[in-house]
Amino acid sequence: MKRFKDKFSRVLPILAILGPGIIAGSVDNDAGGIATYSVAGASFGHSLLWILFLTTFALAVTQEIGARMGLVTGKGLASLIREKFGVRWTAFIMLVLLIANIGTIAAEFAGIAAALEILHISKFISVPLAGLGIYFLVTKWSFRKLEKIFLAASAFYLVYILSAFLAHPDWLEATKSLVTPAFQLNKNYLLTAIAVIGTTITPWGQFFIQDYVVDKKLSKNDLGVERADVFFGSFVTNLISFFIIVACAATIYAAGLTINDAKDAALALQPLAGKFASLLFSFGLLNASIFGAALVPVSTAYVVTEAFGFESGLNFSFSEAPQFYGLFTFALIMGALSVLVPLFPLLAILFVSQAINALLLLPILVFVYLLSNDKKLLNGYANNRLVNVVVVVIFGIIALAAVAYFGSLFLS
Amino acid sequence: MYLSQLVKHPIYFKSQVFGRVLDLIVSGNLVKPQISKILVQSSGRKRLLPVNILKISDQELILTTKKFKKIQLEEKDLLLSEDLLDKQVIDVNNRRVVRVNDVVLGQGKGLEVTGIDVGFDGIARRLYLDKFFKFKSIILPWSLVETFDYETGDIKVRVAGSKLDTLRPADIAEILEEVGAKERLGLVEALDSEIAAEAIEEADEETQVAILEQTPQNLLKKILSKMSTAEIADVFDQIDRRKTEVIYKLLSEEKAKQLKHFMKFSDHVAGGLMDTVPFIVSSGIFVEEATELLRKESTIPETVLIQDRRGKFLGTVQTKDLLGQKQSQKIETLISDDSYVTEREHLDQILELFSAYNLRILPVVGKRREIVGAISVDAIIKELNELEERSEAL
Repeated sequence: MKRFKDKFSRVLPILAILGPGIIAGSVDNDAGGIATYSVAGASFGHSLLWILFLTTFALAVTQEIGARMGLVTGKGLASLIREKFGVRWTAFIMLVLLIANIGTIAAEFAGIAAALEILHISKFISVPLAGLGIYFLVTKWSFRKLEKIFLAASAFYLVYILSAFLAHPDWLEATKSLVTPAFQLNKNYLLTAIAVIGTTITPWGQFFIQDYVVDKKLSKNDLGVERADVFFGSFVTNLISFFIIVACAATIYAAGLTINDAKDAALALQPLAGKFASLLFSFGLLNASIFGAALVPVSTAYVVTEAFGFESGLNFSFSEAPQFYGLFTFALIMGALSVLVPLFPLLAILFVSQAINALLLLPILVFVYLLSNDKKLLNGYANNRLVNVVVVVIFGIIALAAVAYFGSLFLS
Repeated sequence: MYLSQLVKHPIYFKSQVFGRVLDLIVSGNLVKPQISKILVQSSGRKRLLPVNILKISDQELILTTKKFKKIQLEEKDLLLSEDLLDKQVIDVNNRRVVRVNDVVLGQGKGLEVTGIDVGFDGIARRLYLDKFFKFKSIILPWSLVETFDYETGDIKVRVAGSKLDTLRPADIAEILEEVGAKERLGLVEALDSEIAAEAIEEADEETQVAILEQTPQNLLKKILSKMSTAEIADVFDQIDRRKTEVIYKLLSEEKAKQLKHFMKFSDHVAGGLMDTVPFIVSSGIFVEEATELLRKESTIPETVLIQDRRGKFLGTVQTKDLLGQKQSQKIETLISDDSYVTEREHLDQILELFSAYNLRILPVVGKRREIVGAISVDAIIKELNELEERSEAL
């Protein structure tokens, strides 16, 4: 990565910043992301854009913390938690992470199922096939090659930008909505707000950025470049989220329709693709879901094995790293099964899993806050006041929204 | 008994709870570590107690008297919970990095540390799951473990003739690749600089860059002087620009010149692949003289390069071919190969030569066919490995 950067950075400065911030950012627009942003735009027009705006900052900040901690200590988040707080808290956080991640993986499979249902393929065929396919792709083929293919196919998101323009929304109103808080104290609004936050700032993403940076053995000297990468990644990914919301607002919301089923979200692409909207949407959703369904189980396996001192890595065989492969397989299967069990409609899985991400982020944020303020640990690279304020604010917003949501559930 | 059974548990005085155990401390001799002090939380304060006023009965700690001399924490003290529990240590016997799940204590002359629990049953015990599940127990004896200071990353347990020096550079390299930034530096500081240099050369590129960028200058200077210039050149372009300036200044004049020379060539041409200073003799000498000269080398080279009276390269002789030859024979009659390349020759050509002629070493010559260096088969293997890793990463 570094050699790549050094050689090309003089020729094409943009290519130099193809770092983990971009990757993690792109995966933010996974199945759960597309579904959540679609629902946000379709049900509430522009009134959730201010949450998106705040979340962009929060994402940049939390990712920067992860990158900084990884650069300075050379250790992953799970290791830091284990070393400072001991194995009991570590087990607790790993359980939290496992639940959140299985929810995310379920959302990815729900995305695969929904995308292929548009092509009239039953989820009982698409999900198991996809699960098996991902298992073999990751264990027998190269994960890196998969990553490259996914990143290339991410060009798909441009269709949302094009569609948004073609739908002629009120751009002034949209831009104003980015900075105008519009509280609606009804439970759907609250739940969607929580989901928007949780699909952007994810538990797995918090562990991922730090592990990635540690893996590349980047150091304090690279802090500047890494910050740029992380900020750029956060900005680009949420720019796309902005267009998804605006496109849905301009088409579905404006027409007075709602999204009841995942495929209804394809309407947002009609200005661009006309009757091919569903097909186009299916392709994009499938691409986003498959990569997420591969990345999140792998990340889960890496983090949990790191926490408990097991051998980890795809370069090892199953017998050399049984816990790693076992965890990967477990996460993959649990996610897939959650979709096949006919308890919940696909859209609900896609959407609610993101809200759960936000709630389970709360304990993780606590540990991230404590660790990133530890001056002895970070040797002059501990948080400044602004960073601390952002973390506390995002914690507060999630907590308040959650309390308000559950409160309104009780009262109704 | 285990550390986890004592830490965070109450300590009693006359059947009343006096406080809670925070940590057990080992001082002085870290080869046979005896617990010397105990840190407790009592009445809202942290207090350090000497071990002689305590006794253990039924896995409970009991204070025998409340009167004791005030003691301090010394810098060399090892705090078992803070420095050891849940941290990474080096398992010298198995040459890897492991995490401490629990510490095993024994009652010898006093309470002492006998080993480290690195198996999953240690985790199970600390999660109170050991009543339900039985896992494999893996205990490392204390004598086979090197530990780090949690705050500074320094190697904490350093005994004379430390166990670390028994590890091969390749093993140390793997350990350097696995530990965190502070510990990596602590390890490099603790090693003999010659061994450190060798270990760094064996480590992967990212680790090499990290070490070269982060080691303080005094130590870096020593290590650079022991590293091969070719190795430094291999990762030099990945090092932060400001640090490369510093490194040039820390190198000896000769090495700096060598490095600049290497940097002119990429590692895909002979000039950048050269890694050996070859053993050269003149064509006129006899087997007897050659053998004498070879014996004087600290490591006997596999291959002898022959140059003529004007310093031009003639060919190579395998040292093993000198066995059983007449001492009065001229060495140039034993030349088995005369392949060579110039500094700009490309890797593809070099590979062909190596495989076509089963070479172990390929001399590299300058414009007037004078020997400037040699490429060993090891350098080729390393380069091929790196290329494969890079293409896998793509």
